[in-house]
Amino acid sequence: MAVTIELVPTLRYTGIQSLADGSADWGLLRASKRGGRLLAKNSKSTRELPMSSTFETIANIIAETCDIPRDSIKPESHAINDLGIDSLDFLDIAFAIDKAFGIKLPLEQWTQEVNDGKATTDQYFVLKNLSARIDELVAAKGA
Amino acid sequence: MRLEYFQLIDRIVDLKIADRKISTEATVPGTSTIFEGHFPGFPLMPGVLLIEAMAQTSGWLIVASNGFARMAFLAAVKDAKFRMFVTPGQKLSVKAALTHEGSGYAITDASITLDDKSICDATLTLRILDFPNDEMKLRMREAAARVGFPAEVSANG
Repeated sequence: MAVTIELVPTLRYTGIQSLADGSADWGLLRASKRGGRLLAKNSKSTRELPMSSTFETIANIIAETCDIPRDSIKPESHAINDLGIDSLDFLDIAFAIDKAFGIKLPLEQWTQEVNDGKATTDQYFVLKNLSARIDELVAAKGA
Repeated sequence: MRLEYFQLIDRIVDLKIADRKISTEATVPGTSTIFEGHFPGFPLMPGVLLIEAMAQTSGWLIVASNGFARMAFLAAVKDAKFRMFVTPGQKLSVKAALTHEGSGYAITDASITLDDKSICDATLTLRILDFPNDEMKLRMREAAARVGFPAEVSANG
């Protein structure tokens, strides 16, 4: 029953699309090809805002899960476009975030919203925004 | 097992959706062309096929959990360990436990035993997607019936 993801390219699935090279990637129109981690474009940011503990937690998760230098992960970093994280690696991150915060990141809903043009990837995958979404999910859980 | 059809699982022995656990049975065939290459003069069940047996078992558990609404596709294999040789004719017990259900993916802990001896184990990640077409769903229902998938679960999807 379970087959490898390479068999998926013909799927009309909204969450994952296949790149020309056969690798699965985000169905987010502007797919960030793998191969070489890109450094955060905004790493020269001069004025650092106080970092939330949520951001610290997810930055540490990303650094550990994807072997990305921790100091290159900024609140302004875009997980896909700046850090070069693909959808499979992000599953590991989502799993770690789900466990760490006791929530369920609604990845499928987010992807659908982006594909429908109702949201931009920045709203969910720029890390300071991701932190805010996580805080909202944690708050909603406690409500 | 019907290796030529990539059907690794013979039957579902126990399925407890509430407990998020499944147990299946898989008997290695006595003969197969696979053993001519793996290995000449020393037939062994390939480890990659043991992983597939764990993935298929995990897949049945996930499909049962979602009422046959969506399909599971193997996405990652972690911490796979092969502790003993498996040879033709051996009857294996395959178990999987659903340890996390995320949005569009699930994590299982899977293992294979032979007479209560540990053969192999791994942590699997499976993507959960809509069935890509009606034919696949139909064929998967047929495969489900073959392995003894509970009819009441299959009927819900």
